[in-house]
Amino acid sequence: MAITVKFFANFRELTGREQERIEGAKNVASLLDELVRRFEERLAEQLYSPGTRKLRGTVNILVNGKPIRLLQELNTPLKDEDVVAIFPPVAGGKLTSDELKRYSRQIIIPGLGKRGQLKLKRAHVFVAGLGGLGSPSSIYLVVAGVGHLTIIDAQQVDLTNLNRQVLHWELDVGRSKAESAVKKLLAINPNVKVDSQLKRITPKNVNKLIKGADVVVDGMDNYPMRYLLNETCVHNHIPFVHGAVEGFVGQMMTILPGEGPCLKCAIPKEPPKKPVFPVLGATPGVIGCLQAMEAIKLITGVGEPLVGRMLIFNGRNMTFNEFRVEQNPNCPVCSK
Amino acid sequence: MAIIVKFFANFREITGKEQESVEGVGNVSSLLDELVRRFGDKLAKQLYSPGTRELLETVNILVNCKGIRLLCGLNTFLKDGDGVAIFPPVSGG
Ligand SMILES: [Zn+2]
Repeated sequence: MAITVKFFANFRELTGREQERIEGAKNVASLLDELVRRFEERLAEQLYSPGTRKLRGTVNILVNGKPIRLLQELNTPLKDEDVVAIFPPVAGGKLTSDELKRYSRQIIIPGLGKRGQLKLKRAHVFVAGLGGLGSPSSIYLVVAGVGHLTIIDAQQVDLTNLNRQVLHWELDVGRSKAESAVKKLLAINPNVKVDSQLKRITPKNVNKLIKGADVVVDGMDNYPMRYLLNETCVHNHIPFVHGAVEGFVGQMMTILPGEGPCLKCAIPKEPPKKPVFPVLGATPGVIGCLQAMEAIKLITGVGEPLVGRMLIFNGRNMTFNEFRVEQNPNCPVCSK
Repeated sequence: MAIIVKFFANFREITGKEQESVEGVGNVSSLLDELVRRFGDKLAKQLYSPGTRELLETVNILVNCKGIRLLCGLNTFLKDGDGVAIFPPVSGG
């Protein structure tokens, strides 16, 4: 048994191979060392910034289909039978001069830069639900320049939604939330692609729906749906940014499959369903914005995600607290 | 050494404390007994179904970062130095 490395585009040209088998590499860094030993300086030049061992921004590496930027970068562990893909960014994915200007205030954030902006442009985020949480999270993902957003909601806008679901306006009452949202989001930023789906997420369609997403953002209002998304994300190794609210209180945790606990570890049993829950719009405003921020961090690799930590926001006394959560060995979802 | 209990959201409001240190309890059930003794009926109402000693479904308790509903529930064993978190998960969106 060994690790299979697949080369694409210019990496295929310069190695003269479609794939290579490597044994005994413990992580991506040592795998690249071995590849450089075999294919010499010409490969090193393509992989690393000049004179360093830092991966160039133009190199994408996937381990078992998942970008290492969402894992542990060069420290991502490897084991026998893993498949590693190495490829340059797809053509046409450059930032336009309009985009460079539009995003200039965030491009100058240390650690984000043009490189991070390009990652956002190439990212695909799935926002499940367009209510109190999904409204702010999709707005902030779109203004940040996430290149592809899929939004989904089966409901129509109701007057009682308008105290918190800021994507939907008085004139939208009776219209589908998906339609209402896509109009606003594209008006805010026409540089991004927004797919809207007017449907319910079900155990049958969920796999297909979230396939290919880099991050899934929780905008649901019930635990059966959250557990379904949690489980599907864990099985497909897609990061899942959980959020929930009630009254003045919000909670949030990021699930990074394989790297920390899942939602079921933190909340093994759903609280009883409330058909009508009290909520002040600003509460999902806070949590939805934080969820967008987490998704942006995961995509760009900036900062430290909220993995293994449940954040509790309490607007009554304006506190943010957190407690640690660990993977439960008895978890029916993530512990095997 | 004692067991450190951290309260979140409404549990913090009811107890008026961020955390409480409890000694000499062997499991979660007896820890809750001790907390109810200290903080009174208003805490009991938030923990148990009316007239029972069954934990409300609105309450989530973690022992050493693990949900007790995936451990041994109220019978989950406690020892000195353990950390307990009590929080009411919210569900809206
Ligand atoms: Zn789990």
